[in-house]
Amino acid sequence: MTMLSMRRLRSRGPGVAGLAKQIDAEPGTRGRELRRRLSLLVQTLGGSDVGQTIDHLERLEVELAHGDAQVMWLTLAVLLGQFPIESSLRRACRMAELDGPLAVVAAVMADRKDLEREHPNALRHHLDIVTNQVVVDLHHTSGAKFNTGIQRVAREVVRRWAETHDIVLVGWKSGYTALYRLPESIAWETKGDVGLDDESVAPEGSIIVPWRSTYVLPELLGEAGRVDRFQCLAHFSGNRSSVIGFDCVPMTTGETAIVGMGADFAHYLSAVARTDRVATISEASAVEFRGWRAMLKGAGIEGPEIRAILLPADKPTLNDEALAIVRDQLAVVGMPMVLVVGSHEPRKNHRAVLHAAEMLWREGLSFSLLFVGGNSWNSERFTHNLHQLQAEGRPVHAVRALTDELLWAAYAVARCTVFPSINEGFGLPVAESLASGTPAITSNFGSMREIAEAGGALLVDPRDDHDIAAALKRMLTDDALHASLARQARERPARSWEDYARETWNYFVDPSLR
Amino acid sequence: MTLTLSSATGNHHLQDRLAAVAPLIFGSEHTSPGQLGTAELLTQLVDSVLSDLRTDRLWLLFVTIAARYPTQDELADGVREFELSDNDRATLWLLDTAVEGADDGSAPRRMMTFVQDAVLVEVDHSAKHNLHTGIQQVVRELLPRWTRDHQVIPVAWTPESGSHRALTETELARVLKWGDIGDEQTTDYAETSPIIVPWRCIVVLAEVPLGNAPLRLAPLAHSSGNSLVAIGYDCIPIVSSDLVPTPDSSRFVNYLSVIKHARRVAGISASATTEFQGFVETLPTQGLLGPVVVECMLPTSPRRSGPSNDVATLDRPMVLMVGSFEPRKNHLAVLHAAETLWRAGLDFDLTFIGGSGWGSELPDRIDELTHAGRPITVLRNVDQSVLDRAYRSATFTVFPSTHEGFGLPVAESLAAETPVITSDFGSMRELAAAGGALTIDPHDDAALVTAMRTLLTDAGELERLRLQIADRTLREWDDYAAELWAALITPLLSGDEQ
Repeated sequence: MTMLSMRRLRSRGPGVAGLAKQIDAEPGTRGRELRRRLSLLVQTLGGSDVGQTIDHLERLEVELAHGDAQVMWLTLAVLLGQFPIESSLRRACRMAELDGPLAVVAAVMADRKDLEREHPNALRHHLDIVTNQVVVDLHHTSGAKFNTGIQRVAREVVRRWAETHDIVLVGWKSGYTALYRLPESIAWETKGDVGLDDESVAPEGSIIVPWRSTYVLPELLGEAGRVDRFQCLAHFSGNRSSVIGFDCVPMTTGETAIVGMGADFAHYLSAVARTDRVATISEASAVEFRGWRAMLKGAGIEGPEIRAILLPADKPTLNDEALAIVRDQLAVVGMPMVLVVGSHEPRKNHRAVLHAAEMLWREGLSFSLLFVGGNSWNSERFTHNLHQLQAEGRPVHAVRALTDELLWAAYAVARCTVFPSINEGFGLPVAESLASGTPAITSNFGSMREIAEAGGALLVDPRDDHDIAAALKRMLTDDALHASLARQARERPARSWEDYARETWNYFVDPSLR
Repeated sequence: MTLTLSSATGNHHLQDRLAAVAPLIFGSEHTSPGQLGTAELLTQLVDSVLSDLRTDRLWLLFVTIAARYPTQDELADGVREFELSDNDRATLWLLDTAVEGADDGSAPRRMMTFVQDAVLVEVDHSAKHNLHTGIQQVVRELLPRWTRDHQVIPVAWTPESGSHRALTETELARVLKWGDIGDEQTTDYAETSPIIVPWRCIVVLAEVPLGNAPLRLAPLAHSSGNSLVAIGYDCIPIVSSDLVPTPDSSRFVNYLSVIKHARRVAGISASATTEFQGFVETLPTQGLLGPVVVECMLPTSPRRSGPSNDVATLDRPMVLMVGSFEPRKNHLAVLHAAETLWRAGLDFDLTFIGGSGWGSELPDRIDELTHAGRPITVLRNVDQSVLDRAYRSATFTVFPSTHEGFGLPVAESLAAETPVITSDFGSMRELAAAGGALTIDPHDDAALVTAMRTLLTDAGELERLRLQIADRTLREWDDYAAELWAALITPLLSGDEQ
């Protein structure tokens, strides 16, 4: 349903008395909630609760008469319980200008009838306006069963914000029409595929309408309806909005991404263009976002402020049992182990690693190679090459996933790691390898170079197989070099999630709300 | 620059193709490949590539055998395979891969022409179709001038976007003689034009390639020894992705994966140049430098001949908006401003001229206002003469688009000596800067109302804008064609890349 599908009213607009009568006649829970929302709306806009619908409407008419898009955004969101998208908001503003503010209220009442037919519960939902608060959107993370990459960052940082500050945790209602309050218990669990789209599975709390607040998005969003409403909120609602910027890979490195992902990502970016601040997870990612922001000039958009706040790496947790399992089952006795962590998508460049390894095995070097990561888009070629080498008897193995304990043990057991990716917002396996005191071979640009700068890594051109092979050979054969890199890795300054949470909070949240 | 057409006769057999490519792969010292059998010749060519493994020579040998350009995966596979293989295995890999990936049945039977040290211009869409908007107009103005002044080879794609091919007679006419033939031409079915294989060439993307073409253009750009350059129209599908259909954004991401490996890009306006430069600025994060981006502004069309503005003959003012019926063009703001002014008692006609479009909100709103008696005219897919007449008849035009690479309706309005109200940023502001236009924030309805009211009620202001138009200096297509050559081609020939 499009909001304000309108039924455009012919006349100069309805009389206030008629509208008040219509509102007062709304039956049951839906009617009580509507009158409560109207009162809430008027109070939020600075009026007092005088109890009478007609007084509230007159007050609202005055507030809307200024043609203020923020007030219109709030009015539509509250009375419909659905956040407007830009086209609805513009239509409403134009209608108010031509036919008077009450014409918009009349159109909203007509839309509520459609809504009542299509989503009988939508109008009965309890709704809160939260003013001067920090609203954190954890929609996808709260429903995700995995705990990698983006979800991990979102959980780690929001958990720490929640420990030290008052925040309102929200997700999106089914159909991505409005925000609702997320129970904290839901937010922190790594659950199965719950599917919040299904109202019968996920009980939804109150609808939350932020006002004069800070809206923070610590995850990525790609769902079309969610993007449109987020964009309109960021652009017109008057709320301050901030996002964590992970990378621009789907746009800048589209050849390595799933078909269609580039378009979804571009849509997401068109919403980010309307936010106030982006904290990128590395300087390299900031370079991408700044380039993108420069592109916005053609559309007359200034774009958000961009600042790099480097992600931390977790501290390794080691136990003997896990170490024993890795040594017995994943390593090859008498051979140094080379570890590669990450999914087998083309961007990770794992086929170059296989090729470099084969060149060295043919030279007579002895080492085993372990890949930890799932299959992914277009990973068939990698799998094919892997099986070829295995058929030839090369000591190369691949496991889809390891528990955290086993992964840390694998880092600890490995002679070195190899991570020659083409583009990363933050090369997590490099950071984890170095945090484990295990030297890494990684790309000589971008976030990987950035992470390597504090020591412990050899840098290579990932597009040159021979360069990767040469570095791997040095790492395997030059014990002095290896020892020196391992020492550098151990001496790297630690950076914690607490540091990251504090820096992002201070950047995102207006001082008056901190 | 020399143009070498190797073996222009019937070389559709593998033997002939190998003989034709042999001098390019062996170098000049090799004398008589023609005396060898196919198998011996292939062995020698593979040996030659193996002995000095470079991606450009492997790329060329692959194209010769497969009759299509390799994808990045195929080329990377090939290099790795060759590195670890003897002649037999390498040859088998080449033949296997050629067969496996063959999805265009016509390719092996086509003639193949090897072209060295030449300039190829990709004009696929303009050659194959009669559509004549934006990019096609540029191509059909540019190509006649470039073919007149330089040696260039216009090329299109084979079916399934396997490789470039020569144009048919019909296609050549569509690109070089559009003014004479118009859109009378039909498509050639079962064309059999020869595959064109560039070697040490400059390939110019005069359009935005579609389909699978980018998959094969990227390795051509970075690993084949050819150089790729492009006209940069805009980055709307990325920057304003909320206002374009999703498939457009997907296609554009693929296009950018080619652009990042281009040597030079010439933006059609300062605004388009800024957008492509912004993209280039993202590239250090993936270890790439990207193309040199320069500005080469499209011409504002020449003043149209024809009767002078016949505003006086209209019984009331006419406001014209030209542009496809899509949200980005902002028709709804114009309707709102018009309704505001009609309600205020102003009397004027509003005419929309456009082609395709989508969404129901605009047609619904037009219906509603027309029903209420407002004088709105909507014309679709009109021919150039109707369009020219409309530009000349209009009191003024409005074009408050939210994003353009150039803003053709602004240029055309000024060419017709009709003042225009347009947006105060990007390419539209550039076009407006030399006079004849009022600029406004297209997101600010009140500003649009004010500007339209001014031009409807203030004859002096309208006249002032008309005088400004008369003073604008003209920029012709000849200027553009020459400057574009200097921007894209000359630096690569002279080795001076700034």
